[in-house]
Amino acid sequence: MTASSPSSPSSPAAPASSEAPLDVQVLQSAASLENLVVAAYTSAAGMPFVAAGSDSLRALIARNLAHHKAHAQSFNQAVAKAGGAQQHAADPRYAESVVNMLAGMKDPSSLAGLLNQLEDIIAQTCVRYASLAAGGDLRTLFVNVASVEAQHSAELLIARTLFDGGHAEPGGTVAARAVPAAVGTVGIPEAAYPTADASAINEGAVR
Amino acid sequence: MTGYSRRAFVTGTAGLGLALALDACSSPSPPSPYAGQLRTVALAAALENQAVSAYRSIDSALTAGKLGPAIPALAAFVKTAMAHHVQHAATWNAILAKAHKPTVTGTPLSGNGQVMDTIGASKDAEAAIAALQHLETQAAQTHTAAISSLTNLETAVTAAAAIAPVEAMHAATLGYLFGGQSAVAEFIGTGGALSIKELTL
Repeated sequence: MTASSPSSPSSPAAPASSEAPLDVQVLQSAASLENLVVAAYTSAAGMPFVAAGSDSLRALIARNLAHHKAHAQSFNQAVAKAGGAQQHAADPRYAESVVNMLAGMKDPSSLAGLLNQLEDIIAQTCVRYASLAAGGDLRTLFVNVASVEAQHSAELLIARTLFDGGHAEPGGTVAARAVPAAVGTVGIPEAAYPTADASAINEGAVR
Repeated sequence: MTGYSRRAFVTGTAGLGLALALDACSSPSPPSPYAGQLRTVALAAALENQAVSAYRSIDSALTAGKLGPAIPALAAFVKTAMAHHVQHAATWNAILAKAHKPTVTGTPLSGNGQVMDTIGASKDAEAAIAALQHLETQAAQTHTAAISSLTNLETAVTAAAAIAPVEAMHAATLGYLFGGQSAVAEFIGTGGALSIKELTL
């Protein structure tokens, strides 16, 4: 994490609450991260440089926003099924810093950078939770969502690199021929998805 | 078809004499070295080997100029994605080896011939990109489906969780950067996951 990354004093290694079962805690925490990102994409969609920007950036933001709403709903449905309270608040660890960072956004590149960091945090968290969840259906749900957030991340990494390089937006093989070789790998940075930045299991638990 | 079912079929259609003749020529398949969850791990290893073969074929075609004018970013992507799949295969095979089972070195999948024919028949970069994107999405979906059945094999659970998103990123890059159209859906899904029945070992 860089100095400009979303952060808070809370430790990602905080111990689990003994008040709720593990599955309930991780589902609530996952929902809280989705709520955080829904708020971030909603804010992004209203930014002047987005509204006046390219159709593809607006479409990407709108599409990802819809995905995150669906993911939050899925986690909350699962937590209700597990006997826990639904989580409709944003993750407390990142909420304030993300609001502050969004307020300072001035261009598509930095916005894509922040949104990518948020996507990566959720993906890493879901990868970790998939290894912790007790039931097969929950493990599948976490990997399902982790994979989509990873795809969002790949596209945002590519979009940011194209913005920064002054290249045209993706347009098939014709456009791809015009970009440097390094652009081809920017969206696939690792062979195994990391979990070092995963949230603690009770980070977004309902209290 | 198993040795038993082959015998039953032939007996019913062509008579005992022919059945005995065929039986003498075709011995039943040897028992699989993999059972239970390790069959799921072996399937994953085979799928990774298939991806390596597919990328190697496309890499050669790109180098030979068979897919049209050069696309440096695609050439770089192919080499990196291929290296990822080599690592994924090693991860799955390490789990098999730790369980004292043989590693999967080839591509023992019933549909492999058709997959490689499709890859080999690519006449241009667009066809190659579409074929690779299909393979990557299938791999991500297969690992996503697999994790629900991997209950007592912690290393395999961790592997599936860490590898599925990477395959998904490969698919997203192929679609967005090279295909010119994002194909990211609300959920990666499991509808296109490869069945364990595809494993021929």
